[in-house]
Amino acid sequence: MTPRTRRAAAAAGLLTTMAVAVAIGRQTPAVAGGAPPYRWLGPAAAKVVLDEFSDFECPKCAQAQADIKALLKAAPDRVALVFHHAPLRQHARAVPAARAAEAAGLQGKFWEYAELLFTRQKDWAPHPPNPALDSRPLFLAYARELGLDEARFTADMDSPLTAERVQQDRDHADRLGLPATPTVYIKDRTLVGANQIASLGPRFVQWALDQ
Amino acid sequence: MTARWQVVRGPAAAFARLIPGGVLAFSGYVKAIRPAEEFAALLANYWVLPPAVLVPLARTVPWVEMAVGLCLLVGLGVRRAALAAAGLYGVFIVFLSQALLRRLPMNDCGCFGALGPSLRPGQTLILDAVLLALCLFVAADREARFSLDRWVDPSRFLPR
Repeated sequence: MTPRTRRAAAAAGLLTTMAVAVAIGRQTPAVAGGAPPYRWLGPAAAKVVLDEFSDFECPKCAQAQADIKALLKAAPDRVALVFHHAPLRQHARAVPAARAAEAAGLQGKFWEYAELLFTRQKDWAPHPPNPALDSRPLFLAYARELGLDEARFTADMDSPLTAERVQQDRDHADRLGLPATPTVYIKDRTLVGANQIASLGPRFVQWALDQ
Repeated sequence: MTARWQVVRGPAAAFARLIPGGVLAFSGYVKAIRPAEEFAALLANYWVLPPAVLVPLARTVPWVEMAVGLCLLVGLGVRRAALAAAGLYGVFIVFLSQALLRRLPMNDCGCFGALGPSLRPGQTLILDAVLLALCLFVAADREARFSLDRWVDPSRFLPR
């Protein structure tokens, strides 16, 4: 063998090793499932399901909401959205907010409550954080505003079942290796952050619809 | 240069190339196996590149890192691979330095994607500077001990 042949053989071996290693290790996030029906928005038999992982206290998540809803409008009869809680550990009020949204969901108002949490985020989770602020009265006020049964809302918000559901979602996000919030999974594609959701989201949804 | 250094220099360079090579191969691999959009989002945190190039770059860079890293590990085209790795570490240093100077809010340099160890930009800057120095040391070595280069073309390494 000439040096040239040997070099080519070695390079081919390296490239093959790389390709095989990546193919074996490739991690396609297994997202589907795990969310109760009230966190599903859109047709039950949707062709494309957007799995959103958000934290109610995250400003970028609030910013992305309009763009995520716009993705649904691309084909309202064929695209659905599923919400998954991904409360970040540095956000002290993210878990209580997620529990409040779950309690609203148990009365059929998850999406309306989530919208209130995002649009009024600065009231119950101001930046810079105000440790003295008790966000619970605000959560109860939002429930009243939506006409929810307050006693049932409070009981559900404090119930171990609600806590478990939020924790299950957080564990799910950890298993996926969630890179940031918000993250939206569309089949085996991923949109990370508000900017990608706005810029790449429509193209990814169209790609998923065309498959 | 002492005679003793002449003796240990070759093996030292062979050992030294495993460190930047291993780091590059690992960092490329952990990014290549995850969706490219994850790395693209981390690149966006540097506020240097236009959004249109982030995803294409995030698809390409991990493979380049892996290829250069593996070449260093097995010793294929050692000198060129060391210079390429030095170039990569140099680019990383420029990116990190501007992020630190502009006080960009970054908790993670993004070097290992979303999966690997999370390092702050300041920590990574020091690490990259050390790795760059090791690459230059390897590039200056002509012996390429324990390398595939010696199998590819043994005549290059015959004593003169």
